[in-house]
Amino acid sequence: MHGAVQLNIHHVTRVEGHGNITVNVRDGEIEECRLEIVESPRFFEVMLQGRSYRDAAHITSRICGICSVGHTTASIRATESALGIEPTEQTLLLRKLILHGETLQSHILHIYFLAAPDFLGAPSVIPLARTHTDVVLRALRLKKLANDLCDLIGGRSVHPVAMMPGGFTSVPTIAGLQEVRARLEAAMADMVATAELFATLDIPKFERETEYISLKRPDEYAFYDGELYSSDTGIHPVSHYRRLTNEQVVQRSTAKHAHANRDSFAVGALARYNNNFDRLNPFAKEIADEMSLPVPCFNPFMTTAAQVVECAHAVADGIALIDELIGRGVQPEPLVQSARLDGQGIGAVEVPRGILYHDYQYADGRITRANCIIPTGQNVANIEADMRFLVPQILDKPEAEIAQNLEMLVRAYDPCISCSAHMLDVKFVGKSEGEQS
Amino acid sequence: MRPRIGIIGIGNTLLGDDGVGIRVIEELRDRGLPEEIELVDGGTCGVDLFYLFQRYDVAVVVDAARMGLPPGTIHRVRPEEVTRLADEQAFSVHDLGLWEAIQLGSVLHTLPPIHIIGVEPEQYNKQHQLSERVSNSVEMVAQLAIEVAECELGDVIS
Repeated sequence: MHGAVQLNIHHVTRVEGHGNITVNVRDGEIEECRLEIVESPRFFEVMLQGRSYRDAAHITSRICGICSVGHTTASIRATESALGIEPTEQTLLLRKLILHGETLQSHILHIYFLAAPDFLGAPSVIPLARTHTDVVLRALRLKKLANDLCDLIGGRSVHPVAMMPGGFTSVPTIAGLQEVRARLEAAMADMVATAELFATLDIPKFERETEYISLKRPDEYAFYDGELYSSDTGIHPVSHYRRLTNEQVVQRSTAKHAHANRDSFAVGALARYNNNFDRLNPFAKEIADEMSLPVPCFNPFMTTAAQVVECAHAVADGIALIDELIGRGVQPEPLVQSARLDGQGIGAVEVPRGILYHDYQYADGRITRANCIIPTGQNVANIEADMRFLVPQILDKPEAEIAQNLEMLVRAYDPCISCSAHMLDVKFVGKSEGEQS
Repeated sequence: MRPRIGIIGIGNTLLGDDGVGIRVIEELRDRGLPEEIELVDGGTCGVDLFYLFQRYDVAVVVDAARMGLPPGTIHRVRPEEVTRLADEQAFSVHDLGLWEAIQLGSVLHTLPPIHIIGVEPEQYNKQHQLSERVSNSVEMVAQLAIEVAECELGDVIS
């Protein structure tokens, strides 16, 4: 029988940053089941103190090279809310468009470069490029398109320079928008091919229903803004975000743990998909159907499928946003100036891995207090809860397979650990002697 | 004129000597280089280096490299050596960006000739400055990068 398992996976691979998984099972009982975030905290919130409202977004962009547009957007929205700045319609359209660019960048990286090797039986994307050249070329094509979209709107493919409180310091040309639009049209076929590929993959059968938290809007699939929505308790104003995150310091991790109405909750692509499926555009719904993704879906391994759906949404909605921009004409606009220099404001934005909060207090145009809550930090407790639920179901398997399953589970959440440390190694803490075979 | 040669510094300036590649690019900014040579602050752009390499006929990469030599030592590294060393997780200070970009580019046959100039770091502390020994190497690394680029430019043009 399977009495004991000890796993120590140090530095889980193919995730952003450094983390460890420790599992210790004795006599069939789980003694330890942990995801340890071991990266050192970086204290961005302290760095922000005393900085001008003009600098905050450029500083916080550096929290992450994968969701720099997300941090920039959340930061700008917190500042605008604090200082009474109302952005123009054109600015809102451009911000929504560049957020789609980053969602694509990040999800494509995860779907193809980090997750796909697991399902296609390759250790990384490099051997995949030899055995599945067309798949890797498609991935590179989509990623390049997403990079170029971010570059077109933000002035750079990461860490946008054109985005500021009050608007954009430069705007894209119509010709630039048309060029990207044509490539987005072509990307629709690539998204169908992505869904077809995903439909053939053998995703672990595992379900654990949890509380799903996302932004929600009545009129669109919420990325840029919206109210808070919990699958347990419904709509909450964004100002109540602390009640829905409850960050707690835990000894084993440099990422704080979060809970809302249960011991843990999930944010990210699957949470958004479950909460906002009816607001997806028809193309994204087709893609979900192609992959037979149920609504709601309680299998965290299917987060990657939900990311495919969101990519399809971003592509189709990106085209719609560009059409609207071209239709109304894109003009350089002066930055909208602040109405005041004191105040408090929150920016809650759906970034690739879930809701990102920036909350700033300003005095005389300078930040006196900042709070940033990162999606991966919100998910860590839920990943551990999944692990505790999964391990007893797979105890019969060989240790290497258990480790692989746990790593896949962690990767499915697409954790961005540098951001939350505030990585992964899976640590098996020993099968008993008789079980070593 | 399309830039033909890219001198690409990579690294994170917030991590001490890991930023040496970027410091070399800054050092070269005032040098008045031929317009066929483009300077690139590659930052920590990871696998996106794959696209960056495709823009040039030849790429010259400057990066901090753990080679087991005295801090500040400058050493020419061949791309295939990056492969070997990275397998042992010994080469690049940041993620597998450079290694993956080189691997992907060579498997997909999109990789231009690449020269890599490695500088042995002393520390990757969370600080904005280079260590003294690495800092002292910056000018010489910059000079070497130009010489490699100009030599290649002669070949590319002729």
